[in-house]
Parts: sequence; structure tokens; C-alpha cells
Amino acid sequence: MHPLEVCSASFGYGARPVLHGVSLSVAAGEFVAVVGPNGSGKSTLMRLMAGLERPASGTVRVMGRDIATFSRRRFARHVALLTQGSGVPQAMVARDMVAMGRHCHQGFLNRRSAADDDVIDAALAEMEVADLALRRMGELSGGQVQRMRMAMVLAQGGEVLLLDEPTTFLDLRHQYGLLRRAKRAARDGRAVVAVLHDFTQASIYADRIALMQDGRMVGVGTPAGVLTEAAIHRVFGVRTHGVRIQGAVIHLPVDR
Amino acid sequence: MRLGVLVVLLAVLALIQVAFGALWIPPARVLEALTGPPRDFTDTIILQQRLPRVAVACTVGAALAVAGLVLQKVMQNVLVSPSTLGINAGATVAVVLAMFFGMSGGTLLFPALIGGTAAMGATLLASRLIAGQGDRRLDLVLAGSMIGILCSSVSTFVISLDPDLFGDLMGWLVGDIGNFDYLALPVVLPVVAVALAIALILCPQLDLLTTGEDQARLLGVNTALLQGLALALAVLLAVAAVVVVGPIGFIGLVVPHLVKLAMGETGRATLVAVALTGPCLLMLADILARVALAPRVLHVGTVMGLSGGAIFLVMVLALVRRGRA
Repeated sequence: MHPLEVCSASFGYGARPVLHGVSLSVAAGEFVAVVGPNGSGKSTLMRLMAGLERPASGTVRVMGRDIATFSRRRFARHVALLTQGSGVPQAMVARDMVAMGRHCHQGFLNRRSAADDDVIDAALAEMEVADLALRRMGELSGGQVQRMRMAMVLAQGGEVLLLDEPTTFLDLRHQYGLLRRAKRAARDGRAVVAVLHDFTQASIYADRIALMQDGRMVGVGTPAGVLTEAAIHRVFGVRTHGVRIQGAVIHLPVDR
Repeated sequence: MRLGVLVVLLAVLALIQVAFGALWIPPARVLEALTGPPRDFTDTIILQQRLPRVAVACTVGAALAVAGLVLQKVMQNVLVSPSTLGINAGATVAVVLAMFFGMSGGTLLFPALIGGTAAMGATLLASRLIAGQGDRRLDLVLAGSMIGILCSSVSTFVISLDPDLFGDLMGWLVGDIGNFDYLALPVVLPVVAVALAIALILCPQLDLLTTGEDQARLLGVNTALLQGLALALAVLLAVAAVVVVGPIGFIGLVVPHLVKLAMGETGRATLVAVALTGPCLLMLADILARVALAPRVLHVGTVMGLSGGAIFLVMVLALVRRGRA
């Protein structure tokens, strides 16, 4: 049993189909990068795996159990998703927002325990935002907001960590910092799935690549096996030249 | 600390409120009456007229203010409140109709609940229908005022049918906390107390909604259930207040706004502060109403309408301006 299993899931918004029989299993300790052109269904797949949408057909299972059978609170203890930046509560103190990650672990009255505080402080430290913890969210820069949101997701914990374009808004240092942290979450035994646009980052950090096109999974495997020049030309319509450096494949556009 | 200041303020205002009236009773005398056994006519006035007035102000002020806060949290809209969504007017028309058919006392809570819920439902529906390219938040308030006007017209019509009812209801309709329904208070007080306790329990979950609906679900909130429960709670609090003193506007709009400025938007402390500030503002308005044009007595509803209307205008202006920038 894998922590996260998507079995031939289809989904559409109204009459417009978005996903056609997509399957993906992610093992404990594995980092999978989802790549594909805009509109290929990556974010919708993430929403399906996070239980925000129900598949029209097929199933999504977490810890071997159909996610339709979870309550939201119980589900949140297993699966955390870093969404693409939506609205953040401008007036809220940053640490209070990060503390919201602990909500699903708290009882009926939502009393925050000392253990909760330890987890929150650890998450803040890991994302290098501990010094900003008492600022209001509205005072933070885009990159700082993104790191706070990641800290909230880390504080939430769980066996499955989903990251939808997590490196948006971040400078190079924090992009790699976040990806290293995600990689470590996988090493700690979590199943990690991240939507990434940068092939280099995907091929360095991911154990496997899931390549999507027009709502279908068109390739799942090792970075070198999936991100070939032929596949990139077929899916993205761009001719590239792959260069191998220290085990990673970097794709340079041919018609520069 | 800030909550302590509010409690002291509330106690001081309550003392002043008891002291003020057709007969001025010195605060020292008030304390005497509270501690010793009743002796004379002054004690009777204090215990049977002035103190219930304080109880009414506390119940109604807390109910309306927390109803406003809960609505604003659920709808993520700083302009909504029991009055701007038409809930007060809906409850009023239902109570007027029920009284026309001879109902009275605590049982009025049921027609008020139906009226308030129907009015809010109508407002939500109307805001969908008129939703244009503009600000969703303004659509909602626009729909609320339309429903409010509709309900008020019906209330006026029903009252005009029965001259006796007009006499009974005049004080109630303008929102007078001196002219409240004695029989309703013993029913409303426990209802409000329980509803406030539930609001306090739900507060952290309502705070999660500020991160957006999807994010709240990801954090473990059953958003549909929470929103339904919170809306029902807000309507219950608002109509309970209406049953006792009639439609007093803007407490639910202004108080959460004032408290948020001082204490931030989230947390249980903010909710408690709102529940304390509501009565303070209502008592202040009551005292002002009796002092401003003395010996003529204004009504709390009039004072709240005048000051609240002005504050509402400023808030809309601020919102529109921010939208343009």
C-alpha cells in the first residue's frame, strides 16, 4: 500500500473535461515532480489528490482508503497541500497563520498545546522566517509570504505533502531551500508530490517525473527516462538540447 | 489586559445608566440598593426598572455585535451585519405580523427566526441575481438594503391597519431599550448566552476561513457545515435582540470594526471584546439619547442610526477607494 494512489481518475469542470483516466502512485519516501504545459491538468490533479474535488470516475486513495470516506479534519492530518498563492489574511500575525496548520490535530476547543508550539517554531525556523513571526502578513514580501505558507503546511504534517508550484515568488536561495526541505520530508518517509516548471530542479530533486499533457499522464519514470529531448518536443513544442552535468540533465533551447 | 479595561468601562457605563433617568439617582445610592435589602421607592425603581435596562443593553448589545462579527467572518465582507443584510427588518416584519395576530412575549422568537432567516435567504438570492462586474461585497449590501426596505414597508402597512398596535409598537420600532418587552427577556437571555458560547467555540474555525475557503478545507474545516451553522447562529442572535428591543441598526456593523482596529481580526479575545463593546456602545447611545436633547428623550435606535449611518458611509468610501487604487 502506498500513502497516495490515484487510479484512472477523470474529472471535468462542468462539460469541459480536464483529466482523462490519470493514474499515479507515490510511495513513502518518494519525491515525484509533476511537469507539463500550462493547462495540462497539473493543478487539477493536485486538487483531486487534496480532496478539494471529487473524481467523476476512478478513485483517489490515501493510506489505502478512499478519500471520499474521510472527514475534512481527519484527512488534513494525512495530507497537506501548499496551494498556488491565493489570498492571505493581511491583518493576521504571521505566527498565528502558521499555527493554523495545527488545527486538525487539536481537539474540540482548539487549545494549542506546548507540542504544537514546538512544531510551529520548528517550521518557522526551517523556512528561515522565525524573525518575521510577529509581523502581520500584509507587511511581508511575496517571497516571505510564500515561505510562511510553506511553514504552515510543514506544521500541518501528515504522510502526504503536496506542493503546487512551490517555488513561485522565491529567489534562488529560497527556491533551493524549499526544495531541499521537501526532499528531506521525503527522506523522513513522507510521500511528496510537487508541480514544478523548472526541468533542472525537477531532475535534481525528484525521484520520479510525472509528465502530463492535455489531461493525460504521458510519462512516469526517472528524470533521465522521461525528460528526453523527444518528449519535451512532443509535449511542449520546444526543441532542446539535453546536457548532462553531474548526473542531472539540463535542457537548453536549440533555436537561441 | 484590554478585556479588563472593557469590563471596567462596561461596569462604569452600567452604573451611569442606572443613575440616569427621569429621577437622578446618585451612583452611591445605586450601590447601596444593590448591596442592602430594599427599603423605599428608589430601590424599587433601581431593581425593577433601571437594572433590567442594563440587562437588556448587555444581552442585546452582545447579541447584535457578535452576530455582526460572525457574519463578517463567514462572508469575508466587512460591510455585512444584521441590519445591512436585512435580517433585522425581516425579523421585525415577522414580529409585527405575529403581534397583529395576537402573539406576545418569548414565543415571538419563533416568527422572528423565520422572518430573519427568510430575509437573509432573500438577500443572498437577490445578490446572486444582481451580481455584475462590480464588487461582490457591495452587491450583497445593496441586496440587503432592498430587502430591508421591502420588509419595513410591509411592517408599516400592517401597523397602520391597527391603531392599538401602533401605540404598543412605536417605542419598539424605533429601537428603545427603555421600552423593551419584559416577557421576552427571560426567554431571550438564555438563548443568547448559549449562542454566544457556541460562537466562542467556533471562533478558531471561523478564523481559518480568512485564509480562503479552499485553504480552510485543506486545514481540516468542513466549510459548508461551518458556514451553515455560523449563519444560523448569527440570525438567531440578531432576531433574539430584535424580539426584545426592536431593530437597532449598526451595532453589528460598527462594533466588530472598532474592535478589529484595536485587537486584530482573529482570535477568541477579539470575539470576547466584541461581546463586551456591543453593550458599552449601546449604553453610551442610551445615555447620549437621554442627555442630548434633554428634557426631550431621543431613542437609542435614532442615535445608533445617525452615528452608525455616518460610519457606514465612511467604510464604504474606504472600500471603494481601495478598490480603485
